[in-house]
Formats: sequence, structure tokens, C-alpha cells
Amino acid sequence: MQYENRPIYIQIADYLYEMILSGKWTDGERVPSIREMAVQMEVNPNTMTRTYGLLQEQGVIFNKRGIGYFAADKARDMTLRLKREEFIHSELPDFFKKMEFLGMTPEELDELFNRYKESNHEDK
Amino acid sequence: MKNIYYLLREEYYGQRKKAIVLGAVIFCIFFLSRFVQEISVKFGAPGGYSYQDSIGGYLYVAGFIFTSMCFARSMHSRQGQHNWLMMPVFAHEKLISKVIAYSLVYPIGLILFTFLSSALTEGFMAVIWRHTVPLFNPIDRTVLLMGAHYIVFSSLFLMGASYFRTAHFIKTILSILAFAVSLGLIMGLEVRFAYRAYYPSMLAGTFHVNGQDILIQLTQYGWMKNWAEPFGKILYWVMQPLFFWSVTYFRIREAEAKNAV
Amino acid sequence: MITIDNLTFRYGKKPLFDNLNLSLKEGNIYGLLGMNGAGKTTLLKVLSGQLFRKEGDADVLGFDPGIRHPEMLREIFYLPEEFFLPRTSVEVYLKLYSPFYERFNKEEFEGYCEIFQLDLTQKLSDYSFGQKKKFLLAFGLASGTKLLILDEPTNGLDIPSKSQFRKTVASAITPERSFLISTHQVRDMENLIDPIVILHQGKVILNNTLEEVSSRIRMEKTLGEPAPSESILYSEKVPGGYYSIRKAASPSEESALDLEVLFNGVVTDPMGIGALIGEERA
Repeated sequence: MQYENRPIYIQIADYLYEMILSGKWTDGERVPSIREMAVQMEVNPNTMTRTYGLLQEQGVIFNKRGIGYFAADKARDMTLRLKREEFIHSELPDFFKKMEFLGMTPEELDELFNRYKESNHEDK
Repeated sequence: MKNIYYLLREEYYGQRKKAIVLGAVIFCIFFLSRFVQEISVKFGAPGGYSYQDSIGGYLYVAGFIFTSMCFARSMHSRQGQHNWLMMPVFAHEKLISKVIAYSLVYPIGLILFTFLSSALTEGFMAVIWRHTVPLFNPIDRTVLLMGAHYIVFSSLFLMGASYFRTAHFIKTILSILAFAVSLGLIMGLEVRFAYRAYYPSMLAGTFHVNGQDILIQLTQYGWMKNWAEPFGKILYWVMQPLFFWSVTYFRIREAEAKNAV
Repeated sequence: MITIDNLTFRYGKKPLFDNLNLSLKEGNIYGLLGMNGAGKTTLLKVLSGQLFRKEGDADVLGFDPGIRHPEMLREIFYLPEEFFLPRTSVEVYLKLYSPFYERFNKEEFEGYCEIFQLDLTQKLSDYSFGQKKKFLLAFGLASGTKLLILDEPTNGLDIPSKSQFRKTVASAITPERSFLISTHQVRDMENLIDPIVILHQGKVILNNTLEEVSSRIRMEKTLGEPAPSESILYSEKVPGGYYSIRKAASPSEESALDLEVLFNGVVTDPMGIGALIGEERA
């Protein structure tokens, strides 16, 4: 098992991003309450409050007083941008390092990526 | 008040099986003994049966045993203690509910039940033998006095129940005996001392004290004549139960989770 | 909601708690951890008025627990590790015991029983150990008490029940309510209990939220044994490598926490890790 060395509230945030990217939570629509999510994920509601706080800070969700939490109008775009940034900052450097180490060029990568896309389309 | 009602209801659910068994036993004994007695009368045995004499045994023996056991499954039990201690009621409410259940409801219930059983038994006897005896009289003076003495004495057994963690009934009886014997010894020695002129020595010899003589001597002191009897009555009927109930109250308050057996 | 100052308690002559201090607030699910014999159950019993303290001050929901005031007891539901249920039906049990708790909610009770898959037509004495436990839990959660004390609640529960347990606790917590859960089964409660209270050698050596913990220390898993250095506070071997606890460089450098490793680290070195986490922020 891979060890995820990130605090639990960030791990939960990842799960919520996934909900948005997969379309289970739609832009502008109401999302489950902190309590509902805490029950669903069997975690301390305080932890879930922290996660919601993080998403709220990033503008992915917002709180309508007395009604509940809603996904932002551009929640999907924002999440995509956040995840891209995260990918560029935390995963790409390692990837590039490995490419360099193995002597691979961007052209090779381009070709591999195209082939991957084609095979994926054929599958569909 | 509400809490006492809830506690009594819990007590009722815990004890009703025992009560039903006791009731069944009493009825069966009445029915069988009357049945057998009617047969023996037919064979020429002398008649006569009184329900009045039968009540004492059930009232005192069964009642004191029940009372002695009344904390066994709660305050003193490893299993039951948690609920007993966590119950959101005052210690005095716990005490009052036990006093009501074991010193009031029990004797009154038993006396009424004895009356009903005698009525039912005689109903059967009337049908079977066309002969009956007088029913149990629940408001007979002796019965009422027995009930009153029961209330006083059950306070002592309630204290025993709260004080002893195991073998509550036996230990209470033994304590009463030990107390009575030591009191008797002290009194005996005191009498010997008071009437030392009549004895050959402090420990040897006998001297028969006539109760009348003592009373005559006592009545020579006017204050004793006026006070001794009422004082004794207050001591017996009021101070004694109050003292035993107070001790029980403090035992309930002091009970801790580590005392269970 | 609970404040304890300089509590001393002994069984016979052997002191169990020595100047123990503890403060618990509303709205939290506290996890009480400690080694065997550390006195977790004794502490719970002192807090609930089942045992009397020898010295020190204690305030539980505004009352001295030793007085066992009904107003305090009405706000405490305590599920002990070993319990006893009378031989009655569910209906009679509710009739007898729910009136003692003014806010007892029957619909809530039935809801929890449904989650726990309890057959309410069965006699209580026919329930298995785990079912009895779940029955009492449902009763306690529905009783609306401010404080719920659960002693080893997941002991004897099967795997689905453990998950149901976490769900119900997460749904039952409110800002006015607190749970105090004593446990050895840290894995059953991971992500549920927060703050963590660690009882060790007669004292509370840790009482902090996971956020406070993870802002002070950093946990890392490495393949090889970490080289000894000043920043390594504790390390232990686990399957597939080593777990180590380092001092966090900055509060924003948060890492995932493993409660077992945290417990081992704090107990091994209370003055180091415990004090580091517990010290007041400047």
C-alpha cells in the first residue's frame, strides 16, 4: 500500500474534487452538508469542517447562510485548474527527473501519448 | 416524585415474578390445608380453622427475606451496579422507593391478597364441601398491629440489605442476635449491680426478680412513670425506623463502583 | 464541560492518579488512549461519580461528580465495557429507563436501531454481546445526553458494525455534546476521535486536537532506518520500513498521522513529544 503522507483533511478534499470532476457534484448545485459527508466518510465532523473550509477558501464551494453549501458556478473549471497546478508542481518534476535520467525526449513522449490516446479511442 | 414512580415501576418489573410465586404458594397452602382439614372433619377430627394465624409467617419471613435481597442485584452486584449508580435520581429517592415497595406496598398487598385468597378458597370449599369457615379479616386489630411491627422491623432489614454485600438476610439475623445477646448480658449485669444486695456475688447465684416489684419501684419515681412508656414507644415506633433508614441512606450515597461482589 | 484539577486517586495504597489535570470541551469526540492498567476506566468512573476521588477538584457539567446529582447524571450516558441488560423486551426496557432522560427521542432510537440492524421484537437476553452493545449505544445516542462515555465501544463488534458505529457517532455529535471514547482499538477509531487524550503513569500527558498535533510534529515513513538526528524525536519499525516522528519545521508542514505511532512516541518520550505538542503557542 502506498503511504499517503498528507493530512486526512487533504485526502478528503481529494475525494471531494473527484466528486466535482466526475460530475456527481454539479456546478451551482447544492452539495451535502458537513455532517452528511462526515457520516458518509465515517470521519470526525471537525475534520470535514476543515476540508469544507479549504474548498470554500479556494472558491470551489460556498456557504449560503442557513441553507447549506453549494458548488460554485465554475466549480469544475476551478477544480480542474487546481488539480492541474498540483500535477505540474508536485508530480511533473519527479516525472521529468526520471525522463532525464532515462534519456527520453519530449518527442518520444509525444508519440507515446498519441498512441495511448488512439488505443483508448479504439477501446471505446 | 416522578423519579420515585419510575423507580417503583422498575422495582415492580424486577420483582413481579417473585410476587406471583409467593401468591401462588399462599393460595395453594390455603386451598390444600382447608381441603385436607374438611376431609379430616368428615372422619371425625375436631374442626376449626382460622386464617388469622396464618399471615405472620408469610408477612415476616418472606418479607424480611425479600427486603434483605433488595440491593443484591443493584448496589452490590458487579453486573447491576453500573445502572444503579448511573441512574439520574437522588439517593433519598432510591431509599424512599425501596421503603415504599418493601415496607408499605408489600405488607398491604400481602394482607389484601390473603383476604382475597381466603375468600376464593372458601368459595371453592362452599362448592365442594358445602361448609365454610370465617374469612381472613384484614382489618383485625392483631393483623394491623402485625403490619405496623413489620414496617418498623423491615427498616432494620433494609439497613442490613444495604450494609451487607452478601448473605444479607442471615447476616442481619445474626447481627440482631448478637446485639440482643450483648444487650441482654449488659442488662443482666446491670440488674445484678443494681440489686447487688440480693445477690451472693456478682457472677454466681440466682435471684428471681419479680416484674411487679420492679414496676412498683419504678413508679415511685414520678417522672419515670410518666416518661418511660411514651419514650419507649417513640424509640420503638419512630426513632428506630428513622435511624435505620438514615443509615441506609448514607450507605446508598457512599456506594462506589469498587464495592461490588 | 469537564475540568479536573490535581486529581489524586488510589486503590488501597497504590496511587493511580497523581495530580492529574484534564479539561474537555463541548462538541468534540475525545479519544482516551492509555496502556493496560493506565486507569482509563477508573478515570471514566471518577468522572461519572461511580468512584470518589481522594484529592483535587472536579467539575463535570457544573457539578461535583462525587455528589452524583441527578441533573448531572441525566446528562451522562455511560456505556461500560461489561454491561448487563435485564431480561425484558425492548419495549419494556424503553418504558422503564427512557423516562429518566427528558430528551429521549424514540424515533431517533429506532433510526439508530435500523442502522445497527437490530430486531426490536427480540428479547434483550436473546441478543448477542455485540447486539446488546449496539442496543445500548442506540439507547444512549437517543437519550440526548450532553456527555457520552464509551468504554471500548468497538470491542466485540463485527466489521460492518464498526463502520455503523463510526457513522452513528459522526452523525450524533452536536456543538453541545461530547463523546469520551476510551479505546485500545485505535484503528477502529482513526479519523473519528479528535482530540486525543493520552493517559500515562497517573497523568494526562497529551490532550490536543489532531490539527495541533500535526502542526507540531511530522510523521514520515521511510524504507531505511532514519539517521539519528536532533529533529528525529521517535522512530519505530513497521512492516515495510520505519515510521519516524520529526519536529515540524513550520505549522503549515502538515502530514498524515498514525495514531498508534503517535501513541507509542508520546508514551516513550512524554517530556519530549507530549510537551512539544502541548506547549502553548507563543
